[in-house]
Amino acid sequence: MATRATGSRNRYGNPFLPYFLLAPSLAVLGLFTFWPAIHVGWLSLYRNNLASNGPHFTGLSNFTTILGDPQFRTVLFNTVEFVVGTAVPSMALGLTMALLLNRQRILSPLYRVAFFYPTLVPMVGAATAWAFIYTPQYGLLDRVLHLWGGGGLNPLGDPNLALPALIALSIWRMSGYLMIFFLAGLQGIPGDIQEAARVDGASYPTIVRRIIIPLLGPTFVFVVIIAIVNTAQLVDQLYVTTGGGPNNATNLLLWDIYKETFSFFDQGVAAAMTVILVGALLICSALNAILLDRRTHYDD
Amino acid sequence: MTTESTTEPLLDTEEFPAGIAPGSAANLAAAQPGPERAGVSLRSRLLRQGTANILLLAAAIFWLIPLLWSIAAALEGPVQITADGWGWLPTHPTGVNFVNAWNDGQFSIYLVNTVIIVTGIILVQGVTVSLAGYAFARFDFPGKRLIFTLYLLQIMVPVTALVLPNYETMSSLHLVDTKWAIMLPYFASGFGTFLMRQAFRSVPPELEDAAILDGAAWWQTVRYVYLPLTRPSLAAFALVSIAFHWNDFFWPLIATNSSANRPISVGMALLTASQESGTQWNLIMAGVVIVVLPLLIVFLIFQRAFINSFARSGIK
Repeated sequence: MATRATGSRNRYGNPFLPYFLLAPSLAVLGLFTFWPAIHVGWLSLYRNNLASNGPHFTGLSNFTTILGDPQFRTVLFNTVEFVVGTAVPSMALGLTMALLLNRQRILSPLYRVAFFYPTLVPMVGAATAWAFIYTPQYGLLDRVLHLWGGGGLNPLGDPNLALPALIALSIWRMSGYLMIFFLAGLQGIPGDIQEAARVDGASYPTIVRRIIIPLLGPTFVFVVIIAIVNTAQLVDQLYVTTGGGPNNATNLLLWDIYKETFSFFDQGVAAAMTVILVGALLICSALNAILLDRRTHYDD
Repeated sequence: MTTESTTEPLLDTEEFPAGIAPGSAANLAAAQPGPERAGVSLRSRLLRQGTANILLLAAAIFWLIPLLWSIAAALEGPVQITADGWGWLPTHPTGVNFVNAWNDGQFSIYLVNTVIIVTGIILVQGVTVSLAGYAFARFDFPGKRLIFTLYLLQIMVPVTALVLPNYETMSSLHLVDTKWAIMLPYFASGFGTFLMRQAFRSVPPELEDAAILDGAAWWQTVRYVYLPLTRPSLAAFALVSIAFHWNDFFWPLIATNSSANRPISVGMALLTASQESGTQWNLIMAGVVIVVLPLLIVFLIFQRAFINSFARSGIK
């Protein structure tokens, strides 16, 4: 394996070559990731809405305002519920699917297509299809419930059911995506260890628990990050279904930011919310890197 | 190449060489119906396998239902959709919904926009991630670790999360409601840079040394030595990126406010949102099917390529 990788930056005669190579992408990253992150932190310190007649410096008062607002706390709580409620089951399902599909089956191609295709459907499309399924009376869900004597349910219109209904749709979409990463990780596990365990009489569940899952460490690190970052900013479904309702039951952080900016024109508050979102993402990533990275053992 | 024998491993073995070792999981699984393990009867093993297969089949059908239901609804006549007798199959199949959805939804413009946007993004990304990947893979320079961390951060805090400040930036640049606004933030990709860095690292450095001895400039080395060998990684990244950007909705929504530059995902959402009354479901579902079909058909044809691409992108 060729890992004696790096060489002198002078070897082509121009010691700044690496920087030139990085310049295009750094420029884009600078303009659309780093600068915005700093800029939004700056914006969050200013009161800037329809009533303020221009931005006025106000320190942390935007933050104290929103954190003291029960509606915002609901939004935060919804977001955590949505992220955890989607990411954890999707990971569990994705892993289960991968473990089951790692063996050869006649219908394997069908299973792969069936579980993975939702990833290739835009979230707005998936949400629309599920909104139709959830429609009372002639939606699929209600028809099925009627067959069994129930029915009359309106999941997306019920404050208690709306968020779980959206979570179900998100799990449906994300499981196959995560399954692929687990499948790749499983293929990297040498079979000799499993064979040895089998010869010793271990059952498959035990093998999974004691051998496969620990060896999937690096894959878990990656999958957790992907799952959290993706779900934390997943609000497309709100545009075509509930719009954050009913009664803020499905209002998520990024959606609230969108509403504050483009409907209520309160830039200062929206900026403060963005700071919170970005901060949460960074903290999650840092935690993930520290906690999971410690426990995994890499080959190189 | 759309059907595979049951003894082939699930993922391409050239890309996952560990999978072809004699004792690998793939071969092991293929040898399943072999000798009994100590302590577990053949019967209970068959029972477990049978249960697993039934569960998988049930799950697969469940997963397919939303798609099948959508297609059925799109094919149903406009009147029958709310009728009591409407079951699972369209009683009066018709293609009129697709025609109406296409026209009402202005899909021709949106489709062209999407193709332009996605092509533009992929082409530029290919260049930027290759250059950056090369820099990280093969050079030592002051600040390397810090800059590398910055690329990593871009994965954690994506463009979508930063809609507010990015919109401000676009506004200042007077680029709102242009295709540039949609494309620009995506021209670099921390994710793609990582992939290419891994790919470049796996090329034997001796090849580059030989090229230098022959008097090659850096871009010649990249073009004639590295790129041919890292083509699979680049192709994999391109596929993943195409899938993502074809379906991207939120940032394009914010960056545009007229139909001239909107992509198809936004167009479809607008069509749905405009049908407030909710009784035009067949029209809406036709719109969904139109949007969903291109990528799905390509996926069905190139299944292995797609799945391998996504899988490859996950290997750190």
